[in-house]
Order: sequence, then structure tokens, then C-alpha cells
Amino acid sequence: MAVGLFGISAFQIAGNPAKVIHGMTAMPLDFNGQPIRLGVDGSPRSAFGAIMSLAPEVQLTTVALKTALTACGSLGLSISSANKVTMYHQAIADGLPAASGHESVEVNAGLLIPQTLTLQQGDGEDGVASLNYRLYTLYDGTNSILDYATGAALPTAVDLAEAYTLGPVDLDAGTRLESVERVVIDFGLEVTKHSYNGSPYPSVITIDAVRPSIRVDLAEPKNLSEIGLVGGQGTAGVVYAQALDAYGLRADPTESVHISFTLGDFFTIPVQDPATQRGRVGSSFQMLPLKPSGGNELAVSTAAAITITQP
Amino acid sequence: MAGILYFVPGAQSIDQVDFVGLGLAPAIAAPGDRNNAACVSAVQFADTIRGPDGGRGMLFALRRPGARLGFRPSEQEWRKCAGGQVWLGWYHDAVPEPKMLQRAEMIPGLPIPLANGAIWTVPIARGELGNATIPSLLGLDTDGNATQVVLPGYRDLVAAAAEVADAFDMNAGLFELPEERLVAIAIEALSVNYHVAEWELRALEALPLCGVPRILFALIEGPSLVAERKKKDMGSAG
Repeated sequence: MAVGLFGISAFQIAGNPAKVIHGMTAMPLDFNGQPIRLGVDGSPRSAFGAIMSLAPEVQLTTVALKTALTACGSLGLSISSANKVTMYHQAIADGLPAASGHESVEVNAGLLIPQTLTLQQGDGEDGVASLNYRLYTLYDGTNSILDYATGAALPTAVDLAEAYTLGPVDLDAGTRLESVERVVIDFGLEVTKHSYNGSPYPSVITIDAVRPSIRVDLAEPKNLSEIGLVGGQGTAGVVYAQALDAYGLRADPTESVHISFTLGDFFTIPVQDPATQRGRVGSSFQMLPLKPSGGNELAVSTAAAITITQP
Repeated sequence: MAGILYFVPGAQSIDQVDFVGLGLAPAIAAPGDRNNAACVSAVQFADTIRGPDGGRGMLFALRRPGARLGFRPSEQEWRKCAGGQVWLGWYHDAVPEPKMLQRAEMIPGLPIPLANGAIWTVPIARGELGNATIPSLLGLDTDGNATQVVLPGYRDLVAAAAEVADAFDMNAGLFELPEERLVAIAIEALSVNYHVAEWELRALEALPLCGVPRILFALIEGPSLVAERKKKDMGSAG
């Protein structure tokens, strides 16, 4: 019997029109089954086994930041039959993607949340910005929590026309940090899954906390000088994801093709001063957005120019 | 410069905001590029758990330095528009006025005072090789003859200006078109140079009804139209 191999493909959010999220680099599916094996009557061996709960989650990693950020907000996208998510596994034949015979996995209910965006200096693919989402599946009372199908057709292919890397970080208007090596934006959504009526599947998911944070790693020891032991307060922080120029180096900074994350109110806190022989003494600090009177935490622009903004 | 803040209740991503359907595209996007994708590129956006209607939604504003995107009820004024499908707001300390709402590229025109004495620049959209300020190019017609070609984004306005000129009754001093059509053309004329359309002008109470004829008279360069007609009348009389 021949071995049927599959590779990853894009995923699609249904709608009118449907949105294809492409630029995928990973989409592992965690089934999250919780088995029990009951040992009873004094026997050390288990005499009975069952799966108590099953709450599949999919990690979705893409380099197509603009496409993904416009399709799913920073507070997550609730998934229902109108905008169900379909992930595709691409059949492989003769060592290459096949024309047909693909697989699909459909999620009819759930919550798709952004988790982390990593921007780092790098000479290879490690320097390409990647955005992680997590899709929590829910049982809608009718459909299977994961609908698996064979013989699926892939969504219309979309050529990747966007990729990003680390860009500058402005601590405040006009204050640009000089030695940024890595930035990780954690969207900070803390969720809880709820199951009822003895169901093994979660049917409701709640967002219990929204605590985004931005960790910035600098090559210079700025924690003790600029950031300060007790941190500071800012009102105009900006983190840029710098667009890569297809076939070139970087897109023109003045072109509106970069992505910016603006923090209207935040405070900074020093985290660590890494100190090694080769890396010398650096600094890592966090920018923690606040929501002083119900405002937002992170404002996104998917068509930003990289400029030092003046107040 | 904060400008106008927008809030669309219930939207969970910027892709879910129908800028065109809500009537926001003429204010946000450039003339000739009034589609949802162009609007997404023109704004910066943020999810909010609590917006002016008390619920979740998407906040956005034109992508400009100092947009101060956020819902801060104590510092802001909000207006419910389109039956609550969209809300428009601004900071108390930065109530939008024409200068703040100007587009990056302004088309020269005539200064027209509207509500509170604010001066708005209205482009002139009538007159071939005359005084029209609407951008046009030297081009060819379908017969291959030399003509002026108006840039695509302004063709509707030029057609509307011709409609207004035809409807201008010089003796009565009136435009013989339905009021709603006149108002729509006046709004379109303002949106050429400013990030405004119907909801922005209504929320800001910036467009007095008595200002509509002033805008339209500027749009068709009324004095020259009157002069042309008088000359024509005199010619036919002689």
C-alpha cells in the first residue's frame, strides 16, 4: 500500500467573499484529549478507560501579516457557520503537491485569536516576521467538532506578495531605539473553555483577560539608563514590522507598505540585562499597554510609512 | 492631529467593516479608489471591548501621526450615525475643522464659508480649458480628436457639475433639481478636498442648508456661467 503524504496549505474563513489566509508556515493540530484509566477494587492496573474531554486547538503560523491582521482583530474572531474555518492538507504525489485528492478539516464553531508576533534580526528565514494564531474549536451542538473530508479542492491559490521583518521601535514620538534585536508582541488573550451537560467538548469560550505586552530586546544596556528601574510611562510608542521588498532588500521606508502597532498609553518595565562574553551586556524590557478609560491597547495600521513621528 | 474617530459596533476585524456600504468610503479613500481595500489601507484600527454603544467593535481613524485612537468617553464627543451602524467621534480638545480634515493633495478652488464661519475650498468642475480646477489631462476622444480627459475619480463630479449648471435658472436664482440631489452633489464637492462625506458633515453639523447653493455656485463657477449666458442671450437678441 502506497504511503499517502500530505503537506500544509492555506486556510480559509468562509464568508462573502471567503478570505484565504495564506503564507502559512505551520498549522499543527493539537487534539487535547484527556484520557482516564480507572484502577479500581484495589487493582494497580486500570480496568476501564475513557476520554473525558476533547478540545482540539490549531496553531496557525503565517508570514502574511497584513492579510491575517485584517481578517482577525486583536480580540479574536468568533467562528460560526457563517464564517467557518477550513484548513487544507495538500496531497503530495511524486514528491510534489498533487493536483487533486486533498484533505480538509472544517471547524464550524470556535474562536480564532492572535497570540504572538515575532520580529527579529536575522540573516535567514528566522528574520522573517511570523504571526501565530490559535484556533479553539467548540461544539455547535450539531456538527462534528472537527469535520474531516477527503477529496477536497484547495482554495484558489494566492501568491505571497508580502513578508516582513523587524523594524524600528519608537519609545515615544521622536525617541527611536537604536539597537533593537528582537520584538515579540504577545496579544495577551487569556481564555477559558467551558463544557456543560456532561459533554466532552467545550461549547463556550470566554476571554478572561486581555493583557498584551511587547518585549523588546536591545543590544545596548539601556534598562538602567533610559528605561529606568521602575520603568516609565509613554503615550506614543510605535513598533514597526518592516516590509521586505520582493526581489530586493527592504521596501522604501516612506512607502505605505509597512505595518505599525501604536500604543497610546503604556508603561515600560525592565525585564533582564542579558550579559554574555559574545553578546556583551544588552537589555530586555516590556512595553505594557494600558486601557485607562476603556480605550484600545494596540492600534494597527497595515499600510504605514516608517517615519519618526513628531507630537 | 486627531481628526475623526470611527466606531463600527460588532465588527471583530477590519475586514468586517463595510466602508462602502456604510457610506464612509468617499471620506476615507481617495476619489477614484473608493473600495473597502483602499479604506483598510487608509486607516489605523484597533479592537475595543467597549465602544460608544457600550459593546465591542472596531475603532479606526485615518492613518496620521497623533490619531490618538481609543475610546475615552470623558475626553470625547460621539454621534450615532446610520441608525447606529457606525459612530463618529472626536476629542473635545480637537474638534475637527476644515484644516484638520484636508486631504494630502488639495485641488485649488473657491473659498466658501460654511457653519461657524469655517472656510472650505470648493473645486471648480465646469469649463473646458477654462477655469476648471479638477485634474484633467490632454487626451483623445473616440474619434481621435484632441480633448481634455478628466481623471477617473472626478468624472462623476464633473458630470454632476454639468447637471447643476443645466439646472441653474438664472432668472429665478434657483437650481431646478430635487433638494436631496443638490445636497448630495454639494457633499461630493466637499469630499474632493476633505475627508468628509454625509455622516461626517452631519455629525459635525458643518454643512448649513443655506451653504449648499454657495458650494454649487462655486462648483460650476457661477459668475462665469452667468456671464456666458448673458453674452449668449445678447448674441441671440442681436
